[in-house]
Amino acid sequence: MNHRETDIDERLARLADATRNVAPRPDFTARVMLAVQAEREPIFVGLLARAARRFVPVAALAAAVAVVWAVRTDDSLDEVLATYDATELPW
Amino acid sequence: MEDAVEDLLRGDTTAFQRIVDATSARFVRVGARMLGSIADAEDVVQEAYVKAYRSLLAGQFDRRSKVETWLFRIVLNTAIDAKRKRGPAKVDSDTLVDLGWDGNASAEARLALKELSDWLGELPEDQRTALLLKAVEGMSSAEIAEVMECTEGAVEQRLVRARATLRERRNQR
Repeated sequence: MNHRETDIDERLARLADATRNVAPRPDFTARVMLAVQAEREPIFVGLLARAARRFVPVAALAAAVAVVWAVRTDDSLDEVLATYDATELPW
Repeated sequence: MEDAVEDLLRGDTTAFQRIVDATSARFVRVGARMLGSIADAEDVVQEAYVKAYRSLLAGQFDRRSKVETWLFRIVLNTAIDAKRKRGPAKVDSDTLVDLGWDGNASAEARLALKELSDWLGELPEDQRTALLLKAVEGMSSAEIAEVMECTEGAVEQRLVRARATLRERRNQR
C-alpha cells in the first residue's frame, strides 16, 4: 500500500468515525409507521376488490336463481290464493 | 427479525414496527453517508420501508436472503435512485450547520457527511457503494456481495477501481 493509498484509508476512517453517531430523529419510527398505515388501507381495499372479483360470477348466478325462484314462488302462491277460500257464486 | 415477518403475514400489525426499530438507525446512517444529509436519508429510508411493507404483503419477499439483507438492498437501491434524480447536493456548509434539527448529529458530523458524499460522489455508483460499505460501514466483501447481488470478486474489483479513481483524481489536483 503506497503513501497516497494510506491517505485515502485514513480519510475514510476519519469520516467513518466522525459520522459514527449519526442517527434518525426520535420520532422517525412513528413517522414510518404513519406512512405504512396510509399504505395499508389501499392495499387492504385492493386485496378485497381482487378477492371480490372472483365471486362476481357466482353472485350473478345466485341472483338469477333467486329471481327465478321468486317468480315461480309468486306464481304458485297466486294459484294457491286463487283457490283458497274461493266461493262460487250462484248464477 | 424473520419471526417479525411471519407475525406480520399472520396479521400482527405491530410486527413491522419491530423491524423498523431494529434496523432504522443503521439504515439512516448508511443513507446519510451516501446522500450527505440525515434529512434526505430519513426520506429515502422511509420510502424504502413503505416499498418493503408493500412487497411483504404482496408475498414478493422470496426468503432467499435474510430479511435485513433484503431490506438493506431496498434502502441502497432507493438511495441510489434518489441520488441519481437529485444530482450532486447543492447545500452549502452554512446551511448544514443551521438546520433546525440535528438528528442527534453534531455540526462536525454533518460536515463530515457532506465531505464524504462530495468526495465519493466523484466515483461511479457501484464503486462508491462498494467502498462506502467496506471502508466506512466495515462490512465484509461477502456481505457486500450479497447486498449488491454480485460476486465477491466483483466487489474486490470495484474496491480496487474505486481506490484507483480516487488516487488518480487526487494526483490530477
